[in-house]
Amino acid sequence: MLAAALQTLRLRFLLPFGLMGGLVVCVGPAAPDPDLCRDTIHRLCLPPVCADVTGRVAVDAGTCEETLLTRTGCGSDGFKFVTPTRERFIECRVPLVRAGVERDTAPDCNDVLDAFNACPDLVHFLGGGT
Amino acid sequence: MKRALGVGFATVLLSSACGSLHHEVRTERGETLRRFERKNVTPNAGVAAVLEVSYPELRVHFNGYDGCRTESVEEYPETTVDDATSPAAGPALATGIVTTLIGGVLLASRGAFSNAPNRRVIDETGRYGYPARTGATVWGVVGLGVGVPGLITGGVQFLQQGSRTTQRTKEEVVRTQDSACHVVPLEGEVLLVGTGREPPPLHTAGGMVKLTAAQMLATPFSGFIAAGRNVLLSAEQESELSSFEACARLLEAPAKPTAPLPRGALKERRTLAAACNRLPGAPAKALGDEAERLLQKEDGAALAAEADAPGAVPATSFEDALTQNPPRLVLEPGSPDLAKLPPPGALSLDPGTEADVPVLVRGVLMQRVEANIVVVDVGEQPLLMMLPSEAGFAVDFSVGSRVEAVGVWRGNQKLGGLTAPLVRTLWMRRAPGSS
Repeated sequence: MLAAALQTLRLRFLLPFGLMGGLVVCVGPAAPDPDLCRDTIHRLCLPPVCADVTGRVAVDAGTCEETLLTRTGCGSDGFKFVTPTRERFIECRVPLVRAGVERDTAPDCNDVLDAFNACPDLVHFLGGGT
Repeated sequence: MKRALGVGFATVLLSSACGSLHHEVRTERGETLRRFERKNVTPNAGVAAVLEVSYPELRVHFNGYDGCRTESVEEYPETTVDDATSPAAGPALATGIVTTLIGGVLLASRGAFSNAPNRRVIDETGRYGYPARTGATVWGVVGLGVGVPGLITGGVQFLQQGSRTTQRTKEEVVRTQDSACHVVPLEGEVLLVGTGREPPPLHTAGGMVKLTAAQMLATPFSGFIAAGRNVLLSAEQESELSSFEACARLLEAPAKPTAPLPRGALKERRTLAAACNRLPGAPAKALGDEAERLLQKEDGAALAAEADAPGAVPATSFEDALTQNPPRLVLEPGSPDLAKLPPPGALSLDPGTEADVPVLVRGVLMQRVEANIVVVDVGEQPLLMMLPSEAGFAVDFSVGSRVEAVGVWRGNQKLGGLTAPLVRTLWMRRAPGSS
């Protein structure tokens, strides 16, 4: 009976409250450009590294993260997006966080392929060929 | 604005709390506290009439009256027990308490949570995850938002549960008696209500109008409207008016014709006389008796003609009659054939409609109704025996003598006040062995 009451209450009150709360206050501040870039490179280089990463961006799986941080300049705290712009980079990053927004969630290789196909400028930014 | 919202929120909460209560109401009647009578008067309830017949005059007294109602009332205590239960009160209260506590604790301790953004998360819009303090605040608010209404709803319902007893004194009318009271003579215009044309209105004098049989004959009436109101007449009064009308038709009609009246007219005259004679003094007694006498005379003549009807083969002896008409019924005291006779009510005015049933009769001659009609009692059953006018046997049997006869039963017949089986006698003789 208690479970039923809780269920009823959850449907009646919890869902609208949760949605409203999540929409209004449950986001943090915008991540700075270096953090955003490092987060993306970290995801791409989480093992097992996808073939598209090692192939199209031409990195070794063992040194993937260090190589890309160096190539892109994201390792520097003064990094700023130019080409692609921050907005374009965020747009291209969307497929890479489909599997989860947690930093240590590796993207699905199909999502990586989607991101690379949709954003040649992202591949170029990472040091790969078009 | 905030106040209005608050009031509205509280109203919704309280109404939802009351709505799910289940009420079981029992009503119990206690012992009678007292009995008393209550009187009500309805003014001008109606008009009554008193008929005073002294043929050929009819006096009608009109009286207005009030309606007096006496009610016998019993006063008793009535106890109403309202058992209110709410199956959802417990769970709602428990849930409310738990979620309110959780929400409260989260809100109270929100300062203990970090206000730094969650850098382990960067969402698809490029923003960090929300700080732990924000999470604690949101879930604290949610907990309170869910818990407080549940707490109030459950609490209100919980408090409203229980048994409430109310007692009040009630009255019950156990008997009502209506009667006419404050009777006063009514003055005013009186209209005669009948089936024919409407006569001119009459006016009461001392609450009374006088009517005559001639008026009744001219414009028959069966009721009255006095002072614009219908006068209620009892069945007895209606019968009295009808008798008065019968008298008027019988006694106030134009002079009697000298020629003998036909049978139908005689019967109507007898009926009218019977109705008229219900009035005091029996105004049409002589006419009624005369009509009855003439009808009986006609009946006797018809029966005599029936006895001498052509086609009856004259017998030469008792045995000859028996041989010619072997009896199918033996009518004698104790005979089972007596039960085959129809009851007196099954009157057959046309004897020809019954099959001629030969019978043998043994009984006691009790009465001579006419010269050729005698009544013979067979046990308790009287028989009307027609004797042919020119019989081949002696017919001078004395009253009280035992006789036996051969005859033909022709059904039931009414003669005067007697209705009995009619037997056309073929031969009659003294019963053997009788003196």
